[in-house]
Parts: sequence; C-alpha cells; structure tokens
Amino acid sequence: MYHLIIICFFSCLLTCSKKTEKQTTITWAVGKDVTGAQRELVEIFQKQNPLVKVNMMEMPESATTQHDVYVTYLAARDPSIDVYSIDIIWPAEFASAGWIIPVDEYIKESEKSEFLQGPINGCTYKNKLYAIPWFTDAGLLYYRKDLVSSPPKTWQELIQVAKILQEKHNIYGFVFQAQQYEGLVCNFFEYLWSNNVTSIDDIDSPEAIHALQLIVDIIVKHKIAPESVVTYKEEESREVFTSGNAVFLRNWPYVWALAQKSIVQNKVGIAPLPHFPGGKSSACLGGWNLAISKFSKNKDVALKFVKFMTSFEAQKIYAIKGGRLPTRKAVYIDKEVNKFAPYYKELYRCFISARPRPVSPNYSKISDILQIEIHKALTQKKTAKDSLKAAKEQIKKIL
Amino acid sequence: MKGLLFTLPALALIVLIVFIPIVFTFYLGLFHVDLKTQSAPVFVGLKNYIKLFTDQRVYQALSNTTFFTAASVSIELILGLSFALLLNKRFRFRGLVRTSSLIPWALPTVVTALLWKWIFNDQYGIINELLFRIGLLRDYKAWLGQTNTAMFSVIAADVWKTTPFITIILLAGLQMIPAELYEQSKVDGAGSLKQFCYITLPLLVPSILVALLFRTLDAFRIFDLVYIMTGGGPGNSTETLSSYTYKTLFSFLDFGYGATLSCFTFSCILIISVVYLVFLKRGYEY
Repeated sequence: MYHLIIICFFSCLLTCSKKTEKQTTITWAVGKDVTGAQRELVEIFQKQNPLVKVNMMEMPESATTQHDVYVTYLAARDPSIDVYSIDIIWPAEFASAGWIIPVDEYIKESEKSEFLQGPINGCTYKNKLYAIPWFTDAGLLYYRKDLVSSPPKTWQELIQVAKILQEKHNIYGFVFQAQQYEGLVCNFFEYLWSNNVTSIDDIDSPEAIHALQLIVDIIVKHKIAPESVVTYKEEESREVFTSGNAVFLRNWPYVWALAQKSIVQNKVGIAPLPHFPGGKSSACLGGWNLAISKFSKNKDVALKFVKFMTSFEAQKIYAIKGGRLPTRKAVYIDKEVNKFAPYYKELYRCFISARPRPVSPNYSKISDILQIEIHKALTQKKTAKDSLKAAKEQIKKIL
Repeated sequence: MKGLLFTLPALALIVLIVFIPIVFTFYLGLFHVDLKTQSAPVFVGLKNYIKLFTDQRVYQALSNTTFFTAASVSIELILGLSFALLLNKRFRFRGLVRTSSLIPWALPTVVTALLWKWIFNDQYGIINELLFRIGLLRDYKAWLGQTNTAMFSVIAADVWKTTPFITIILLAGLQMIPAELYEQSKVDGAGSLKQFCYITLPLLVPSILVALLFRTLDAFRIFDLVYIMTGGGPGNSTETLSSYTYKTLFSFLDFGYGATLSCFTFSCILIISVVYLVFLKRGYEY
C-alpha cells in the first residue's frame, strides 16, 4: 500500500516538474509602445517559440528616468529583468559596471557587418560588443518645402534664408532643442562636428568656440529662433514646426510620421544638417539597443529573443508599423520599406555617417557638465569662450 | 523603569528605521563607491567630506535652496496667516471654502509641478496670455527659460501648493484663543489692529513656530517641483541640494559622494530643527 502511494507521489512530482521545466518566462524592459508594433513583435516571437512567454515591462517615457530605474534594479543585482533596451549612450557605462554580458561569441563577424557601423561602435566597449543595435536615430533638418526651394548646405545659408522667410511669413525661422538636458548636447555636437572638431580634448579650441557662438547668435543676434527655445525638448520644438509656425526644425526621424498627419503634411522636406564652410554635415547618433542582464537566469532564451528582435523580418515590421529606423543595412533597400518612407534611400548616407557621442563609462558626467555650461552660454550667463573653457577643465578632472 | 520598558518597542522601531540608515549613510560616505567600475568600495576616510566643502556646485545648490526656502516660507506665512484670519470669521459657505482651500495641498506634487509648468509655458501658458492681455507684457516670456524668472516660477508653484497647510495649522491655533480676551479688550477700547498685535499674534506664536518648522524642513528638501519644472536649469540656476544629490547617485552612480551629500543635507536640516525647537521651548514659557 505504502509503496503505491510513494510511487504515485514521485511520478506526480516528475510530471509536474517536467511541465515547469519547459515553460520559460523572460522579462523585457523597454520604453513606451506608442505604435503597438512592440506588442506585435512579441506575439510573433511567442508564436514561433510556444514554450516561451515574454513579459513586456513598459518603462517611463523619459530616457533619464529609464536609466534611473535600470540602475535601481541592476545595482541590487535583481534577476527579474532579462533583457534591457538601452540608449546608445549607456552600453559603456553598463558594461563597465558589470551589469550586461558581452555578446561577441553569439554573433559572427560577418553578421556584425550587416549592421550599421555607428550603432555597433556605440555598443562596443573595450573591443567587446555588449548589446545588439535594435533601432537607430540620427539628427536631421526638416524644412518647409513650400517655402524653401532647396535646403541650405551651410549654417550661414540657413540663417539668411530663415531671416527672410521669418519676416515674410511671420513665423519662426528655426527651432531646435536647447533645454538643459541630453538633447542639448546632441544639438551642440552636430554644430561642433560640422566644424571639424572631433575630439573632446578640443572642446575649447577656437573652432569649437566658434560653433557654440553660432548657436548663441542664432538665438540672440539673428533672432531666428524664439528665446524660449532654451526650454524646448523634442516635442515642444516639434509642435512649433508641425503647427506651421517654423521654417526649419532640427529633430529626430520620428517627426516624419507625425508631420504627415499634421497641417503641414505634404509641405515637409527632409535633408542632412548644414555644416560650416570646410566642414561636413554631421548627424548625432541616437538609437536603442538590446542587452542581456548579467543576473538573468534565462540568458539563452533572452539571447534568442534579442536575435529575433534584431532580425531582418522584425526590423522591417518595426520600420513600417513603428516608424523606427532599422539598424540592418538590408532593410533600407527593401521595396516595401521604401514605399512607406521614401526618404530612407536619400538619407541613407546620413544614417551611415551619424556619429556617436563620446563612448565612455563616464559619459553621463561629461554630458551633465556640457549641458550646464552650454546652457549658461545660451542664456547669456557666460560667454561661449568661458563656458567651454570651464567645461574643458571639469571634464579633464573626470578623465 | 517600567516607562522605559513600555517605550522599548517603539524606540527599537525608530532606531531601526531612522538611526541605523543615517549612521550607515555616514559610513558609506567614508568610502569611494562608484558603481560604474566593478571594484569594491575603497576606504577613503574623510576625503569625500573634504571634497564636499571644496565643491563649488554644493555652495551654489545650498544658496539656491536657502533662497527658495526663505522666499517661499515667508510668502506662505504671510498668505497663510491672512487666509487663516479670514477663515476664522463667520460667513456663509465657510465650511465649503475651508474644504476647497485644501485642494492644492491634496494634489500630488508631481501633478502640481506639471500644472504649473504648463501655466508658465511660453507658447500656451495662461500667465503669458493674461499679462499680455492686461498689457503688462509686450511679448510672450519664457519664464522657465530665463535665470532670473525661473526660480520665482518654482516659488510661485510651491506657495500655491503649501499655503493651505500653514492656513490649517494657524486656523487651529486661532481657534484655541479664548473669545473672552477679545471681548475684554473691546471693553478696554482696543481696535482690531491693537487686538491683532497684542492678543492674536503672541498667542499664535507656538502655532506659527510649528508651521514654520514643518515648512522649512520640507522646503529645504525640495526635489520633485524643481526636477519636473526646470530639471535644475536654466544654466543650473534652480538646482537644489536634493536634486544635486539625486543626480550624483543615479546619473553618475557615485554612491560614496552621494551619501556624503545626503549627510550634509541632513546636518543642515538638523541645525534648522534645533534652532526652531529652542525657540519653541522659549515660546511656551508664558
């Protein structure tokens, strides 16, 4: 009698444990799903892998807040999040802190070259790849093609055209992001790089001061940007343009889809950013990448998920349904993708040459210093020269 | 002895929740803990504290915080006292007015901050529209974008939010003043101003001190209002001690220095509390 009970008990245990062994759940921390494309991709993955369930944990919209939430989890070595979507400026920091694992052994060199070089560089720290690029971003110039016949090639041209059109049509000439936050640094670097200043050590060189002075002049001397541009982030500046109140806008690619649904639809052109004479047009690289937590208990399943999300099929869906720039070169020449966004082909060279911000574990501190000093120059509390000199001193102390 | 035994559980809880974290924070400040590197915490003694006293940004943050605290608490006191005197009088719908005056205090600070951020918005804000219509403004102003107006905008939001708190405390204090005192003074020929100066104010001093104590401590630790309305800007002119500490901890992952900054804020608040409590003790000697 007892033997029967014991045998039944153990066979129950075996069958039960067999069931839980097969089903795995992984958690994916990602930003807000505004288009529904993320959920769609998760469902496709779950269909292809019936034993896996993906728990999509939506993070707050702001990148800074997401960073702080991630820090809380990772500093506590919490295994409850397996895959993290990280901004292009975080891989070095997270890798240096030992929070994410390198993925070199899971990606062949040949496969690496299928991705855009900029995002791959941003995800590389000490010669190891720590995240797989998911979607990318690059700063672009939007303009009213009904008012401007051909987009300006240099900053001086932009100022001249903006001045004339501003008077004529009683709207603002140029809007961009100049609030004291990360976006300001993106804007600033675009001017800096387009004047051939490429190293952070040259941040106080005459060319760099000239670049910063130009932004100050745009607001103060030429007055083609409203003085409230120093409080604008992406959405505030986008609002002014899509409501028809600006000739030029510097912003990210996501504005395209929104512009087509606004009152300026069919009147919007896209072009590479202007540059200084003798310089090259330079876009700031943005974008988000997928990394696997060091403390995850399901690293192999997480890797499978990451590989799926960055595959050709998934990126194509995310480009069309989600309006996001793919990181695989092949997606840009796909026919369906081009039908949706014809500007992808023209601006491909923009995306290919987009530059990452300094890749360093101390980037957040460097960025903070730059944000404060540049904002002081833009609000005329300091001259451009003094701000950059002060920034250089403080950055030297960190590096 | 029995008294001590009775209070032991409560004391143990306070020690656990209050004292141990404070001591641990001070202890953490003695180390160099940078989460960006994978190295173990390094004992550096008082180096972090020395760094704190030579950090220009701390003095700027301290000055911003002190200015904010002094300005908002004094404005709130004057407004709060006026409202309390008003609400102490009998009038129709007094109950409704008393209840609705608490609404700003009841709203979460985050909601208040977003609300006021929009009110001060340069394109769509109500303040710009009103002042423009009245004729006081020629052009729309970027309130949160200029150094000299940003701090005042934050103070305005804080005054709106916490004046009800002072009003309620002072109202309670006013109701404790016996009505006979006023009647007797009327017989003696005192006008309302004399009544206010010689009866109301002196007897209200303990309540005022309590309200000031709470408000000063809260204002000194202000974080959410500044974080949401200006993010520390423009040009870092609205950065307070709390927001600098938060940045050091979560953006720079420098937990050692962040702990030091927390201890510094704690000591400032401790000094303020001690000063107030000394006054409170004296205030009760009537």
